Amino acid sequence: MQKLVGAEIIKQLNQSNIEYVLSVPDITTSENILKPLINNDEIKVIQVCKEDEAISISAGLYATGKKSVILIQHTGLLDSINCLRAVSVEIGNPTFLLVGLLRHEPGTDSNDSKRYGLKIVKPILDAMNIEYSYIDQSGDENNITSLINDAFQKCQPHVVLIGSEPQ
Amino acid sequence: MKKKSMDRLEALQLLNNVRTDEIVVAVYQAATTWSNISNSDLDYTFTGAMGQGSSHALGLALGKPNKQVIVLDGDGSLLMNLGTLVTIGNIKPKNLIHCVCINGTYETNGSITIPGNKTISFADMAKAAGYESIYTYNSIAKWKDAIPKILASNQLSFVELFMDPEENKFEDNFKALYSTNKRNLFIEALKNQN
Repeated sequence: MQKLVGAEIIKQLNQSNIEYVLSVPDITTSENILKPLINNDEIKVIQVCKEDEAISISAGLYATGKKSVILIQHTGLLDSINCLRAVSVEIGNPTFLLVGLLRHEPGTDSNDSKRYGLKIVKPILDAMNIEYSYIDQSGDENNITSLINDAFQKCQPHVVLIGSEPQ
Repeated sequence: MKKKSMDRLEALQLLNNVRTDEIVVAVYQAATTWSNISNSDLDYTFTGAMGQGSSHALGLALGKPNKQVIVLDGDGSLLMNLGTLVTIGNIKPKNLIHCVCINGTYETNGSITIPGNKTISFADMAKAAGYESIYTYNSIAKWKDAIPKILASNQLSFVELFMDPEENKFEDNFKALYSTNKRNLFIEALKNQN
């Protein structure tokens, strides 16, 4: 199984006209997505203190016509459920999240994880009727542009769960 | 001795009298009061979750750098998202004015006193976080005089507004404040400003 490629994920963001990435560092994506983004002026990186801030900043940007994505780890997603419920689902905002699954075993289903925090991620998203995708190998990145466009067109959230560290 | 404070309706009316085309992001009781004195489509009240007003405002300020954004936050709300001060202070958007209505209580949730009511200083926290101008008002006359100067400051500003703890003068209507339709009207109104 070939690894995900961080540069390809960034390319997909550029193709989607993403202007901002809002982030709290995530060990799965820091090295090969967040650091290259910080070191490249093409997409502006806004570092937030807590993940729910990012959901609201994204909504404010959207109201001005700007597109952003949120780059966090799954623990931050769990911490932001109320904001996701209110801002993204109930008001209807195109919140697009790239979420690293901390200590996930690639090739396995997080629903079967021995780690409680991972096991509950998909069931929570299912309960909230939030669409999600799972990526963990090279080639999976190719759908990101269409998923972003779809979320913005429908004005609804989408979560991309990242199951392995990109190279 | 009781600390001096202002009537919220009167204080916000003064702001509304001077406001022209600024975006106003208002939360909870400030939003309820504001929506009864302003009918601008540039009012942004659909912040959803408690504490998030200033974060929405940061997104608006970044997305429209030539447009002034005023936040009417609450003390209980800001306590729920204190990291926002650091996030905003780190970026320093010059078009953002962060007002906090301080009445020492969670007014929407039964007027229970907020933690740290007698000890914390939001002004000190904002200053330490990197806000450029800090103002504190507890008198209507001084607030009235200061509003034009603050609106013209072109600096990331933090404004403490000490308000009377009070019974709601207006009925809460969060369904209306948070409506998607209202958000869509806001987007259209903002487009028409270009």
